[in-house]
Amino acid sequence: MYCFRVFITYLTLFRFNLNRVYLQLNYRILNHNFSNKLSSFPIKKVGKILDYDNEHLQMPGKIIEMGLLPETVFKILYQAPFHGPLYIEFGEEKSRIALREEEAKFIIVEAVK
Amino acid sequence: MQKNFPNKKILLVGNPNVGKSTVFNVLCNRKQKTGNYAGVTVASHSGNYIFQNEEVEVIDLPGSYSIYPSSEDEAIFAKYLVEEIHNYSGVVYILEALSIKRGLLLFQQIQDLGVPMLLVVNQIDQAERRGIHLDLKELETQVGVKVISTNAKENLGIEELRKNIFENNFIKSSHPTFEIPTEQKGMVFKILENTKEENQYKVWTLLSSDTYLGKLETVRDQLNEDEVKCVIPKRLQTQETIRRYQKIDAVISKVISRKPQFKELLTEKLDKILVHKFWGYLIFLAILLLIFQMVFYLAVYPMDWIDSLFLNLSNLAKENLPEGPINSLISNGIIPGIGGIVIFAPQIGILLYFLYLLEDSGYMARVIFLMDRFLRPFGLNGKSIVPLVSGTACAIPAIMSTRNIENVKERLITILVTPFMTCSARLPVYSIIIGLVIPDKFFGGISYKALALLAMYILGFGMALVASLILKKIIKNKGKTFLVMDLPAYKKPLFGYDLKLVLEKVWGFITGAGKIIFVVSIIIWVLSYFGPKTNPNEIVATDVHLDHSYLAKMGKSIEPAIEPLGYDWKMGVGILTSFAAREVFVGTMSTLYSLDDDAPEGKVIEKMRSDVKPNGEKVFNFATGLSILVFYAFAMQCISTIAVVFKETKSWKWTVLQTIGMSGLAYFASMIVYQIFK
Repeated sequence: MYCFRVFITYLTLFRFNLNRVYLQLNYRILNHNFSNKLSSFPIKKVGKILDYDNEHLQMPGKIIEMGLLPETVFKILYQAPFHGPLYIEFGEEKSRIALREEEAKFIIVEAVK
Repeated sequence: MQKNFPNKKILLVGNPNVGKSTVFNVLCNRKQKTGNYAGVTVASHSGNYIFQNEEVEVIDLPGSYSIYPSSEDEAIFAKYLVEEIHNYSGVVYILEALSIKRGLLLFQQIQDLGVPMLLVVNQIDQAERRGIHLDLKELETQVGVKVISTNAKENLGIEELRKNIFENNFIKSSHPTFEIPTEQKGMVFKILENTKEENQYKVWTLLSSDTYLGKLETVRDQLNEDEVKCVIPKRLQTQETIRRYQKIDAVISKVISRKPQFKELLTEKLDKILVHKFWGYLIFLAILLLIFQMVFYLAVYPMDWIDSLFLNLSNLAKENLPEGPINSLISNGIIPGIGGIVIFAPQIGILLYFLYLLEDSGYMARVIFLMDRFLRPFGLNGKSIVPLVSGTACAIPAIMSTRNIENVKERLITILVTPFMTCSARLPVYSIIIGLVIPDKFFGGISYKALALLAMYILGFGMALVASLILKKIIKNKGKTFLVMDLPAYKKPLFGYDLKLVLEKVWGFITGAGKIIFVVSIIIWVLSYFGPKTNPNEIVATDVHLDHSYLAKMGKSIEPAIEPLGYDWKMGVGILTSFAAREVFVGTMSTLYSLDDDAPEGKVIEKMRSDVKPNGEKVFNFATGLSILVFYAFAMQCISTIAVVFKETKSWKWTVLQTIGMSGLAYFASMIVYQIFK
């Protein structure tokens, strides 16, 4: 019981992304009608940017300037531990970019088969 | 040959990490002046070359992704580009073949501002290896300016670039690539009419930039209230970027043809390990340890040479100069004082060189990626790791390298805590004090002295983090914090160029510190040679005993303040003079102890070791030693750093708060340490 509580504390302490794990496991099922934010997109799967969620104009302009545009195909290659930044490879030129999850929340994506 | 060449000024512009410094380096073969402290992407510097009797000055501007700046170094770029438009002949725009799409965005923005341009496509071989073929002729017709292909690393295409610059092949675009959206067209034309400005796009940029580019207020004066409400800069920027990229896509589809083959490049292979959740951190730690190991072991040899050189110089002066106080000043004060600084040049040089190589190779971006999550709880950004690590060499370039941190608060905190990092100027002080007070024993094969030095580094870093935590609570947040960062492809660093930069810096360090030490030594000598008059016929007493000199009098007057810290008046003088620069402590001590008649002959360090207080206690005992170490770890004792903090923060408030805060902390911390270990 104690161990379990420690485990849960550990998870909450580092805001363990259960959502990400779930999506990773269920990628195949969700594959067809997957529509979500980049921040919870599974790692090492190919996706496509659809749109931005930028109602309040909080999104850094740099995201667009760097070339993360709608229709861009991408893949999250790595993520730094404890919800660190995402390492994303995108576009036909295979550019690489580092984004925090907070910034990734502005980007709406879908899975590409 | 003519003496005065016709002068031409050109700008080197492009995205960050496109090999701009490489082009700059091979283009400018004449003198280069780093207008600022170098940091590869941070400061703008200029250089020049002569081609067919024409002198060309090349200004290397900091890289940027767009004309709308999101950080301080991008603001420098935009400001220069817009304000100095009449002072340069044209812009040489560097495009990296692999990221041509991203590069064309800024290119077109500058083009639309009416700036004459020349396009350079660098590293085509990289793209070819990726199976991407570029049709340069087609690119030329598409973008409407002259295109030159270079491979700066192999020195290919540079002569052609020079020739084109000589022939003034800069082309101003005739029609804008970006059409002002219909909704804003009315406004833009109205302002055009009122202000007699000719360039539509320039007015548009003034409307769509929120802070840096121009003064919206003045533009806003031209509009009525309803119109002002419609102008949301951020929205306009987004709109512009998306529209531009649509056009760029069309251009690219005509210029680029792809072969299906795909070869995994070195970068992909390396990053599997270098950003790995476990190995990535281990490697970063290993690299840091390796660098510090190098700093201390590789530097031993040149340090020995320098030591014996200055010892010989000092003896030479002693033998050849006439006997007397001047002799003692030069041979015991000035020469050992300057030698005490020069001896640390190899360590500083090695440290800086490795840091430059890491940044140059593209590895630093990975470190930022790895460290961001761990620095954020402290109110810092992943990008803060670069200033913090380079702060172990010198706080001045470190503070200047904070310019690429976009968020104002994170940047300010980084600037304020970087001086806590153990810079190389503290090394001379630490070495002497540790040598004096830490016993010559070993703990599991590692000497106590090495452990003490390691502890000082950890203390500095720890304090930087604690201070960040406190500042995070105090400083109000302005703007959103974010990390959107390009991870450039790894490349072989420019070993020669970096070495040149390092030598420049080290020379600057030696001459800068040397001057201060020279002046301080003389002042101290004068103050200690003269004393208050003892008989009424004199104006002042000369050649007095050190304890009766003006210096002693001044030192003793501050004794009550430093007594709780365990210092005698000599150390007090040493600490006071160190406020010019920390390393001055060593010079001051050399001068003071070589002037002390009571002290036995021998090396200064021996004199310091055997010096006793009036009550028979050793001056440099364990408690006072620790107290000094802590004092130097925390106190803001460096005029140049204070100046740079002011320059970078543009705020007296923070500069003064930092100086007082750090020095106050130093005072109380060393008092506590002394009282505990007494």
